[in-house]
Amino acid sequence: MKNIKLSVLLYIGFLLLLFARPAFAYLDPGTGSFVFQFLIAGLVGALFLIKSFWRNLSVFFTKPFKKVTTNTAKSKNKTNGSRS
Amino acid sequence: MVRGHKSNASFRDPDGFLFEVEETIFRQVNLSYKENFDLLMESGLYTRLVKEKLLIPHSEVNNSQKYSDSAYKVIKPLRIPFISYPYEWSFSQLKDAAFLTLQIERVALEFGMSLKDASAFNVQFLEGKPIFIDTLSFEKYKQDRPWVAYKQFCQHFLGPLALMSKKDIYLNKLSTVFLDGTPLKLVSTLLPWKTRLNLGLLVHIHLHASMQEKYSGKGVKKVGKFSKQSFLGLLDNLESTVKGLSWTPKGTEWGDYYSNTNYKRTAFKQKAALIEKYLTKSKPKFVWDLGANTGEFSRIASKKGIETIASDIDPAAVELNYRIVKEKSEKNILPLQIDLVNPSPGLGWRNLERDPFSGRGLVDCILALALIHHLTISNNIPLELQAEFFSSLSKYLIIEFVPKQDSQVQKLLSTRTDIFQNYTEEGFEKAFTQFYKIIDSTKIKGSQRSIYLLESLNAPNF
Repeated sequence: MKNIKLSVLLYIGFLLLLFARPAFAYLDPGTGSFVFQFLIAGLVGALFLIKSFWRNLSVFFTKPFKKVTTNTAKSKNKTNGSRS
Repeated sequence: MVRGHKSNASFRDPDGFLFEVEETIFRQVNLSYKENFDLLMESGLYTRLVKEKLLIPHSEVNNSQKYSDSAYKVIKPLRIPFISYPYEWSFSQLKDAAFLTLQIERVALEFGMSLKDASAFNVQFLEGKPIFIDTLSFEKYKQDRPWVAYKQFCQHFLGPLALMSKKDIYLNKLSTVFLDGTPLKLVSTLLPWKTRLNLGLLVHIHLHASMQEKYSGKGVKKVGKFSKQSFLGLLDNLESTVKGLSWTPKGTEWGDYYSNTNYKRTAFKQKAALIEKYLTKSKPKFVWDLGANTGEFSRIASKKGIETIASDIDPAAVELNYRIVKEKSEKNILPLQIDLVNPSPGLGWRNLERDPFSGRGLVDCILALALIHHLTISNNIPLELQAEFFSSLSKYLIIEFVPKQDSQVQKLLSTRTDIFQNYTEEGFEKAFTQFYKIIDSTKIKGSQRSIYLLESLNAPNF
């Protein structure tokens, strides 16, 4: 859902870009890629921050249970191993 | 200084180049790259990347080995057994090469360096995994500056992967035409409209392409700051976008071939045993299995420790083959997508920058199994020309003759006039003995096919 909203906003931006004056394709377009990164700096930076925050949060909450899960997984593997 | 042969593929970078002396590859590091080379080696970045098998290892050699006076150092990188190119890779091979590039950039940032280019040609496959080969691609990270290789990453990796995943798998062949990556404007035009609903593709392909067009031929006077946070965010976002692209082989040309051939289980086993026997007899170090499908028979060679190329025209077969390589951590087999009747040509500057498939790398035995009827009947290639071609490549040939009575051949003939009067076992032997000596041949029980071990009369020297 979050992605769709962002997509809609960015799509409006994309439409605006469509009205840019025609350019000469034989010239090196490296400048566009350079400038573009500044334009998306906020977006990618923020998304990364949110992602890191969620990752840290989920690690914080799952950590106490992790040991139990690992043990269970290990014992499951052992069982499978003995069968074969 | 030494006399050597400067590589035709290594002339764009002013900081150094590859050269070859008596079949050993060296890389000259120029004085202009001194600061960055020292930083790479002394910061711990080189050690970390080599330890994680992300970067090709090298050893430093005496400076008397230098090619020219501009040398700072001369290094000897580990040699890659077979150089392959992005337009020969399957979807997952290109995807893994993209992940490798992003992973290296992330590690480089930790050590205060950054990749100055992100060309897919800087990646090769070694022991079943992608590895970065350009030791001179690292430069000191410039604070507040964006990634100079962003455009190249999108054109070399993201664009082609998106086209293969969302439009058509054969669009990786665009990389043959556009050596410095597929132009994003073209990628954007070809991709289905709904890809604009994918945030990563909307940003890094569609909007990016528009910005390139808007700014083409213009300079910029003032730029803002591109923080490290944004840099890491950019890499993370590119990685998620690549991760979100997938392609599942279905309806492969030969994908279900093994369950749908004239071979019964015993015949299949006999065929495998014969190939094993002929490989033991010819003792090759390098095998090319041409028309390898998913590499079932290529593995007879690779499991003997022979460096094996398993090529096929079908992108699905190559993809499945690479997945097996990954799953089983196989080291001696490299699956590649090659159309044998139109193999990769010499490309780039003077047609010498990227080598053609034929003649690239060493090979001393070729496997051509269940291939001859496709070349003859589907592609009208006379038997003599096939024999001449194979014998020009390697000393030994293990070839399967599939007669007209075989149902696979009957299928090929069902929609066309049979103009192949010479396509008989006798005609095959007559054509091939012009170039080969027959060492051995055996009929496969339970089928009408035969396997031959042939030795070239004019074996190429290497």
